[in-house]
Amino acid sequence: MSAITCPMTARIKKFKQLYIEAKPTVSVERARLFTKSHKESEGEPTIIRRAKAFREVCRKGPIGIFENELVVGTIGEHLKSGVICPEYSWTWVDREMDEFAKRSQDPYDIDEASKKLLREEIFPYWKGQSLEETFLARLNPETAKILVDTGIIDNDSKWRNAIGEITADYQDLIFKKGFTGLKKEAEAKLAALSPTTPEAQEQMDFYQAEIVACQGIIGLAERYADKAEKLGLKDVAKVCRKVPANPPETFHEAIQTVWFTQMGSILSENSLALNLGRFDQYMYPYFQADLVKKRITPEKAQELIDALWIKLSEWVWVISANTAKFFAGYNAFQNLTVGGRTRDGRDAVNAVSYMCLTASSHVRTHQPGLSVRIHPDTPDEFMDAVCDLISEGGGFPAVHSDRLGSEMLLAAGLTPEDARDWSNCGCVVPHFRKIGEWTSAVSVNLASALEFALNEGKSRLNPEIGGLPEKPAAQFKSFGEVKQAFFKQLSYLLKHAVIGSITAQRIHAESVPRPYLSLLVEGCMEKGKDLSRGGAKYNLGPVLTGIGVADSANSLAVLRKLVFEDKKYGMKQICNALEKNWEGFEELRRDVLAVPKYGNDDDYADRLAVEISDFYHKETVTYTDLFGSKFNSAFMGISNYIPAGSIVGATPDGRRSGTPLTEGVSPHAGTDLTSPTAAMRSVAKINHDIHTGGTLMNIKLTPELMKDKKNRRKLGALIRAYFALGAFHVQFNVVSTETLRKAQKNPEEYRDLLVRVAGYSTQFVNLSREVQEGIIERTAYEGF
Amino acid sequence: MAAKKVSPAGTIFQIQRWSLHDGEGIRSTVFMKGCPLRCQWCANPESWTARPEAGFGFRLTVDELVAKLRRDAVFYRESGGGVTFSGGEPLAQPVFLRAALEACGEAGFHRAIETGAYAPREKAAPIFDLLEEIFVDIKHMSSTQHKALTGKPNAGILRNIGHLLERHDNVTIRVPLVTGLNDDEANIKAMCSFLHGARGLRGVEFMSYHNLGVGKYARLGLPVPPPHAAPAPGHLEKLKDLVRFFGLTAL
Repeated sequence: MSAITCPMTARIKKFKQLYIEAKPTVSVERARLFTKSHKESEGEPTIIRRAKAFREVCRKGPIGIFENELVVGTIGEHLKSGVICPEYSWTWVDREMDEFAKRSQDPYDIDEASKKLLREEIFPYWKGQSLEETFLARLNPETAKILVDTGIIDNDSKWRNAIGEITADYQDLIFKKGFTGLKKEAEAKLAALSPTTPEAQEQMDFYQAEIVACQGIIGLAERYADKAEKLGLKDVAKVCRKVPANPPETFHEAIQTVWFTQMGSILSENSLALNLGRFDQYMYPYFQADLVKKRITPEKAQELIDALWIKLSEWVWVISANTAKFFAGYNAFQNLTVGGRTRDGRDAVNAVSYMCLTASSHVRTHQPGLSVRIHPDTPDEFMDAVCDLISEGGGFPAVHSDRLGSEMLLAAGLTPEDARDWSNCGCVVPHFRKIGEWTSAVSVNLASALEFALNEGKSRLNPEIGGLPEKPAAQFKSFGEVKQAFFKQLSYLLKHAVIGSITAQRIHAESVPRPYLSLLVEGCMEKGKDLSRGGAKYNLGPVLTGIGVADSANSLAVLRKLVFEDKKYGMKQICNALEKNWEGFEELRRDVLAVPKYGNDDDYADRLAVEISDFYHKETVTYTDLFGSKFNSAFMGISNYIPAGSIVGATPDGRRSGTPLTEGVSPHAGTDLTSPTAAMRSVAKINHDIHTGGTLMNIKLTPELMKDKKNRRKLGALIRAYFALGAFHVQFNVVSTETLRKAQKNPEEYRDLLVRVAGYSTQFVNLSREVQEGIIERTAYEGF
Repeated sequence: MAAKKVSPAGTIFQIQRWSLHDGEGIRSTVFMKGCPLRCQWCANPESWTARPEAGFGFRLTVDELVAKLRRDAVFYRESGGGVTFSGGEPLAQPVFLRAALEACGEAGFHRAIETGAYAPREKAAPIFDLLEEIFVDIKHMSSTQHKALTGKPNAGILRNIGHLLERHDNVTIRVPLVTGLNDDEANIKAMCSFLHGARGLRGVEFMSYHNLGVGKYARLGLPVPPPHAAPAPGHLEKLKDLVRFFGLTAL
């Protein structure tokens, strides 16, 4: 299958321009209608109330069709709209919205009338009822001390926000049945039940909610059809009249179905990781059929895909300042995965796979999060196209080992066919459209654990909080003791991460069921059970994401070498240096920096990283969640390594107080001095296959390296070799330091400059100074 | 019981992984210490002396070297890459080099060399047979000029190259071009005549002078060379055309 590359159309250029120029703006209509409906449905079952509220938003919410649009639908009145979901949390909105427009990371506009409405009509209704308030009221105090806004363990995205983290099942549900079909199914199920048992009553509530949710999304599309007709947009009207109520028949209809489905999820929840899954697999049959029937040309299909990419980028995931530090860059983490193998094991690359690469190259928007699955038989031509896109520097696509993703899911209990059919969730988590899972449940700060071990159980920067009590570090008699002390503190953090997750899971099941999203995942309709109650076909345990593998490994290596092997310094000296943030200890710091660092293919540090990550995993899987599924481990980025670093003092590896840690399993910025091959060898020593939540590795390459085809081929070889070594994921930033500095000085001129943060890409100029500096610091490899 | 084979040792100053310009694919380049020449434009004067000094350079046995090179074997395999021996002058440690190349061959690594070819024929010939790819320098065709510029005459070098071009099928000639020293048309013409018709010649690669190594001389206590310059782009194009005129490939 060869690549089709058409140039970007003028229309798409215009959409792109409008998108870049539009300011992210909060729309309160969703909140207003959602609240209004709740006031009218008091006393009804929660799941039905939420479905009715969703339907109300669909029926009455703002409808936006902009000039010349191909794919239509907004979630608010503005081009770049974000919505508020007060039922999850509103206190941070109240606290922060006066500063929304001025905050350093991901600012939003919000007008005074909207703020007034929120404060006078909406927040008062939800006071005492929101997920956040319930969670904070129920969370046990010991856990709360380290879980709530401390940066030590963090899961506020699971109680200040909805979960998201699903991959809609177009293949078997939405494209096959349409929402009318799903509604009929729910009606049939409902009719077959009698409310004579508690289970039946719950199921009947569920099916009623499903029917209402279907009515909602079908009604929304009807309104778009009406509006399109009024505007004289005949083609758009026809499409909106048909889908998503009915299964799509044309490529255009399928694209619009995808966007409507997505909108439904956004209006339901305002959440991250509403994934598009294996877009190239489910769209290709429509493309082929249209070509045969001469209903479409490759150029037209490309234009539709480009338009969808822009739509996916326009909506804004509205989050607190704290969450924005962990998930920086207006990123909604809508992952879209192409390539890999088919369900029956053949190479899956098709024309649409290439068109997805081209779309990302055309529009250079930060969504969707494009990922590719590479297996040994992936065509060289496709690999070339992937490397071409990487060399454009936007950070896309993320590259994944096809086989390892399947293996991880097979181990998690999926059938072999389902495991082969995997796609990514959000960042780098192997996922599937029939899975229910909290793929980013808690962030766990390994550097904090180490700090507690070395600082008598306390945080250096905030001695009020800490872990388990510990004796002074000077009393550690062996390296083994130091390591054990670290592992003890880490276990403590993991325990409380689990407590926080289970507490949240229980409350979600009770107060914020997800009737609309349950339509999109197989299992819920069969069982008559909402996603939040384990309705999905497969339920995988929550993912605990570790931050600071490199930092803790490097730190332990320093202590082992300088204190216990060379005996050049004592523990007390080192701790003094940490307390003083290295000031007055320059020579010690030089010695510290000279100790082998993870990422240079030196077992001295690397084996510690393996030991730490293995321990983390072993500890994590001893716990099971609300549905009896084992918790999972992951080392992935998002931008969590920056806030996590801000609350940790100086660390033995030479790191200065408050500075960023390390994302995923990457080497710490600036310490991998050898080569990308050495860095990869180091990272590949980690046992990727056990971390079902994914493992993330970042590499920065200079553009000169990527300028000729020969070198781009070498990049392809580098990737294949890395996967042959058993690693899962790699992503590349190919932007020169010079360009980034220029962008810092003149952000206006670099508004579409995309960079990879960690697990996703976003506009560089949208990142806070801190995150920008972090990206610049990441080692840039020249090829020699 | 067979006698244990002693693994010869050599002096190296760097093993550079992720080398993209020293042959096909992703390679590791082994920089060997010691060089018989003293080229006026050399950017690595720290490689001249044979012994480790001032913390620069270290001894390594063949077994140790191969163990290190093996770390990137998976990358060589995927990219059609391998190992390149450079320096300094690899041929200045012929016993070590030969053993290393044999071991690399046994390990399945594709082997390349970057050499000035200043070595006795009987030492160089068996080594050339162990290489899949050869990059060899021609600094100047006139022996007198050669001596003035590098400290050594070129008769032996040219004999080695002639021998190479007959026996080997993958030879690239590298010419370090420095304005006023060797970039005149007469010299390049003479070189092209010399190379014309050679079966094993892949092509001629011009390496324009750069001054990134100049700072090292003072630090090593060596007299700082006079400022040199790279040929102007127009002139470089002319020399490339000259090469093509002779039916050779200008890389």
